[in-house]
Amino acid sequence: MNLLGKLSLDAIPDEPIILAADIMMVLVAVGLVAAVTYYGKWKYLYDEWLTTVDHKKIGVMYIIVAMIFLLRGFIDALMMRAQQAFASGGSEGYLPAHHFAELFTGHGTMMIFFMGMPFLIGLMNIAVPTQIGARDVAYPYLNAVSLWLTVSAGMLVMASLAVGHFSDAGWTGYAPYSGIKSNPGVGVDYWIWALQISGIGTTITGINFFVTIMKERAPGMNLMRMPMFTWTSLCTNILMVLAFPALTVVLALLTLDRYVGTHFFTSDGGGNQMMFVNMFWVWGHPEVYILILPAFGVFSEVTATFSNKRLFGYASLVYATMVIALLSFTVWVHHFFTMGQDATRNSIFAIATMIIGVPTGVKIYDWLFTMFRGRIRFNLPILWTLSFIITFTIGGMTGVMLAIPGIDFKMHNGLFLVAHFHNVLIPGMLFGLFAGYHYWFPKAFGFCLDEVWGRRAFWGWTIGFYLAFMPLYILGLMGMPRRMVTYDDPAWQPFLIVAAIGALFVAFGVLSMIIQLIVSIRDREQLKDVSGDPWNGRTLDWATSSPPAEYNFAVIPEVKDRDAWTDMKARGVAYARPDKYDDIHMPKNTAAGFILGALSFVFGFALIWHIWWLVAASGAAMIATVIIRGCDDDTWFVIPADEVKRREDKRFEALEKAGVV
Amino acid sequence: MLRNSLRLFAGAMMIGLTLLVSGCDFSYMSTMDPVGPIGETERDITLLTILLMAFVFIPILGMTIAIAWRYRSTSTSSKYTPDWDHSWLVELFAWGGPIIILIILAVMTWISTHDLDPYKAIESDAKPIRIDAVATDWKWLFIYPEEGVASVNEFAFPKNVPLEIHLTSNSVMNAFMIQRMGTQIFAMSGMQTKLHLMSRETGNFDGGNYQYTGDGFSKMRFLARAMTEDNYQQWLDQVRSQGSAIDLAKFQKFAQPSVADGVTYFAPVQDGLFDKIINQFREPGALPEQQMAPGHGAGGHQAATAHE
Repeated sequence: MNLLGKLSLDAIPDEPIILAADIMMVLVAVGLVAAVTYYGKWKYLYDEWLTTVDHKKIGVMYIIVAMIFLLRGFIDALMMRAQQAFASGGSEGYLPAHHFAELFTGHGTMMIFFMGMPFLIGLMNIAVPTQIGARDVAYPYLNAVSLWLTVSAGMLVMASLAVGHFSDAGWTGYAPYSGIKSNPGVGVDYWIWALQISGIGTTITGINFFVTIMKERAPGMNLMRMPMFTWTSLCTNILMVLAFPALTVVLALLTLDRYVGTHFFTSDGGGNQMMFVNMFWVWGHPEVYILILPAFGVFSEVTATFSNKRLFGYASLVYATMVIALLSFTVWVHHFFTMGQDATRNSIFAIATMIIGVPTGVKIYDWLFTMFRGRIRFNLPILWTLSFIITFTIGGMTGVMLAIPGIDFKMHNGLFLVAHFHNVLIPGMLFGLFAGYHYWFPKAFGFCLDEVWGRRAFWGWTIGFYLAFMPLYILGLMGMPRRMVTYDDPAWQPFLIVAAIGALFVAFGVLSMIIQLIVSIRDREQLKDVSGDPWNGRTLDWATSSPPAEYNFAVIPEVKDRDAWTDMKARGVAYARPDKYDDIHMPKNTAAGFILGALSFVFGFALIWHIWWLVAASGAAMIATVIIRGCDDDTWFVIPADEVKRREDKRFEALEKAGVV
Repeated sequence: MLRNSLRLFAGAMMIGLTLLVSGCDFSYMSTMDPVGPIGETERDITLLTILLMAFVFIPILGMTIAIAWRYRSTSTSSKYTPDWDHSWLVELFAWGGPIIILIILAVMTWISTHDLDPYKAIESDAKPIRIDAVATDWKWLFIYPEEGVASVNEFAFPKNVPLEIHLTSNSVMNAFMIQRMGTQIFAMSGMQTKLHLMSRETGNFDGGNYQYTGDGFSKMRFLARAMTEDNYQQWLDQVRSQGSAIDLAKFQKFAQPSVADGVTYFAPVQDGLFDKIINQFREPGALPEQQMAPGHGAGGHQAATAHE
């Protein structure tokens, strides 16, 4: 028996570009370990971060993961743009075909599963419990499990760069191309297990936040008084719980095809490749709204806050969100109008798709009317919002175009489609996440982000976006397919060069965001926020200190209005000292989440390389961890009322000193 | 009144459409420069939709800029109503406007989708020609079953004659499209899809595979050649005289992964070869070992260009 399964020294890539990236990755890892050791921070890291169940810290870690993968995914994008800018008319460019394929597969997979998802879940972690006046999420330990499963899945994607290779089947991994016959290597297995492990984490998050929002709201906060971000998070959580099982099943069936020789999606043996496409998009389309709805929530909060005005059409926005969530399950066929089904079926799914445009349009109008007769302060979050409204509307328009089968027939699998989904996801999701990052950063860290470098980042991203993706629309109309490593038509090249220049503008935006973070940390004393409410906020998240105490609220607030914090400020009860404090029960830290994450990485890695003894060992260890933690009844501790009073007195002292109260 | 405004609207749309079609040069955009009825309908609904969408986009663009500017916090002259958060009129407009546009689009979609059904035959006096397209890694085999000939990467046909194309794949999922003729359709192993196309003009048009299929994908392009009836007959004669015989066994050898350089002809073609290619995936044992593209090995990367 081979103890290492399929693993051998051949798994180390021999391509110079990949090898250089590997060396970089190893150097960064060694550097981090050395730095933590040098500063003697291992205990701090373990006590405060690795074992924490505090939703705010978990949120911060989610966003760190997202930022790392944003960088990696963006480097992939730059490399693809560079390749296509040169590889025209006989030139092969600088990338071999299989490396290019791994880039577009990795870019899509990372941007969706390891940038978008962790980012929005991170924002949910930071904002939702405080917005609803809760002390923590419903299941703090599960929250840590979700985080570490996501991290471990991300580490698998990272590992594929150094050991073996990643999938080349596109982020959608269509069978039978992703089947064992066409793809006998480990790439698709890396893709499968990374998605499965992070998918389980996401499903748990969905359950956790659904229960949190339904059960943990402060007294007086009925459903129609919930902040808009909480509403969109709720709908996203419902979608996560309902949609992710479809992905889990389709990946499991593909796994069976690849590992034990079943014929669910193979060409022969009675397999049905069309079933893969259907099942993938049954998850895949709701996933689009999982990504976009929380950003819509951010835009709603930001628009109201920075317009100094109540959110316009709150009820409409709530119903529009629910309609979008419901309809997202009824449109998946529009991802493959070209698979040969009859015209009536295509028409029905086409019209269902367009119907989603109605509630989305309503949202746009409601944001505009929130700004109407307001007093708009042009801080960075509202700039992202304005850029979003204009840019996203263009993406929505091209989405309606692609929803019409007669247009999709020409545009499918082409660059018009690529331009469209970047045109909805970059402004619709990413700009919203950036707005939320700037908006809630002072809440998480107690100081604001630098606006000057933020604005530079904003212009880099906005101008870069238009330069990078408008030419792709034209190339789509010119008939260029997506995913081409080389092409013969010289007429395409000028447009691809413009797109590459656009990517450089975005690179300036990315660089500015890194500088912004460094500059803000350097100037943290000047940027300090003592009030806990730097933007004149409207919802309960701004009622806490920045960063909030581990228990968020010393006394759970009583909610009397939709804009609970604005209402409290108006009634003069904001920052009111409570008469007395009670003992607070809080969940204890646990290493179980981190251990489960680490074990799931080993488990996934062993499955990918067919190291069966290690699969059994790590699987058994995971079950044992869950059981041992399940038998532990001593998972809570009490912060005595005196201690709470001491901490709160300190806060009020600082507030008085700063002249807030 | 209503009728007049409707007429005005329709008139404006028609003028806009005419201006768009005549005023802009689409010749560099292959998908917008059609040579046949399918492509023409698709271009027209594309332009119509762009125009309709402009009615939505331009007001939103204008409103966003105007509102953001007028209600900036430094402007003290503008009205400020911090508690105004509801208006039935605005709600009616916000829900009603998109719904009206939706209804127009839905009607247009229903009609055009049925018109453009790729399985529907094109109406014409000429007798349709059947061509069977087989995608394999990484080249196209076009079989002319009525003529008993086949060509690789060259898709020749007479103009003004409807084509009835049957498609299948000998490997993974592929997608067939000739941009200037319109409509893409998947080609999948073990089954067939159908597509009807026609060209009104003679000429050479680019075509290719649009679904990623591995290392040779980017080079899996072919030339569609629309010609006069006479030239088409000459082309058939040329294929017959230059081609070598092909049957299933020979096809399986030919189908091994490779990037085909140039054009190859086959004649005669074994009767029912197309169905035999499909049935390989249905009958146990009919499929040769290793007929699909080998991707990457367990470690390292081997470019999958066997049989070259």
